[in-house]
Amino acid sequence: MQLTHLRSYARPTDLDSAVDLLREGGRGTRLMAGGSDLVLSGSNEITGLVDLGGLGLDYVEERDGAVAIGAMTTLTDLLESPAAAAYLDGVVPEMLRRVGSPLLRNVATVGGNLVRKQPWSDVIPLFRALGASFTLFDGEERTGSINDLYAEAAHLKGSILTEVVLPRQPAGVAGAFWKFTRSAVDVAALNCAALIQTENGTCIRARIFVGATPRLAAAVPSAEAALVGTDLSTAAVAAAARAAADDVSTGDDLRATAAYRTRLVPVGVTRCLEDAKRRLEGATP
Amino acid sequence: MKQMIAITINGARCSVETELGETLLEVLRREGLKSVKLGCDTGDCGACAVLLDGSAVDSCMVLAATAEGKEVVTVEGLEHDGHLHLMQQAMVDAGGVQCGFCTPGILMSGIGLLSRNPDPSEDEVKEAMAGNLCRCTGYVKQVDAVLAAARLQAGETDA
Repeated sequence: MQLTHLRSYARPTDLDSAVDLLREGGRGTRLMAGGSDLVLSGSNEITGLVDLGGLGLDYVEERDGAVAIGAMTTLTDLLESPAAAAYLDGVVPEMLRRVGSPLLRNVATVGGNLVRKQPWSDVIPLFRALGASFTLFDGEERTGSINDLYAEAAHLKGSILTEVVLPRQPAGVAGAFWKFTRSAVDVAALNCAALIQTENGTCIRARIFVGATPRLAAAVPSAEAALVGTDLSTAAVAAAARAAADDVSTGDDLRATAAYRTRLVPVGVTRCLEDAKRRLEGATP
Repeated sequence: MKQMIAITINGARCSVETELGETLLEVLRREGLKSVKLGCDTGDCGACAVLLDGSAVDSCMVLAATAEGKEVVTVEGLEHDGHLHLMQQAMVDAGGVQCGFCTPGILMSGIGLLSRNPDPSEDEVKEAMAGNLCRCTGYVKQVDAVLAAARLQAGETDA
């Protein structure tokens, strides 16, 4: 038995009840999305679960070029959705295909992945690079930028992530994702996501996130700054990669040493940016 | 703490007694469905895969309570009127079974794939089976079997 201290389980069918159950449940009560991570945690601290599976939060919708994703959408359903395929040259399904195996993706949800904040999450760096926004419910709806979810002061207790929106992107934007793993279905030893925007051949915006360092993905402002104003030449990409190698702080864990990760950082940043450039060129008639 | 859950297993509606923190894997095996193998118990090997509302999932990662009201299919539910399911037959014909421990999970991943994608490429079959470890066959014949099952299924649909 995985959750040996579990004493209560509920699957509410409306958000107000879900919030009430969470609050009444007290310290040991957790929200559950797909549950894969919670079940495997085997945590003795979990005494109650509020299953979000009955709230109708599994949907993917195209809204004027944006993609709205219900928090309970499984990774598989997002991966297979036409809206995700049509968004930025399919960069989201390309990332999702690298997450675990289909057996996991059929259970794991987008919202669970974002909220659990596992440092090896592949969804988090890409969604942050894409500038996603979110909606929370804590009795009232609150919206914000996904980056707020990962700010140190982020306070999620007592609230439920209901929706994530990937914004409509202007012309001249491309995204990319790169991941290094020890085996095809393992979690990342390092990952990287990038978004670049160009106007008349000049980069006017760049977002680069490196994750599984082994800490949670974070932006690399020096690498971003090295790109803006350039023509994204090979030299500019190399400068961004060098900046990332200098500035991304890495650590040891069972998947890789800090030194190995530091060698991976510029490789990931370079490959991500080259891939984004290819996508931009492919999109230009 | 005990809880009764209503669940459809291999087409039969039943009410099953569970402990609250138990996984679907534990409950199914206690109900006698021994095709559901306890392998790694951490979602890595795929030996415990079942179909949950039509999708192949690792039953070791699914809390039994969440299966309330849902439909589970295991290998025990595949045979029909004394005939093997076409995925089973294809696995036998291709020689995709050796020790047999991974086979139930492989079958579920194959069936789950064909229900979403009736005409998969070889690469798509390999991707669908990425979560199923097999230490005997080398996978080649299992991939062949899923592709053969897709052709069999297409033939059945046409007819």
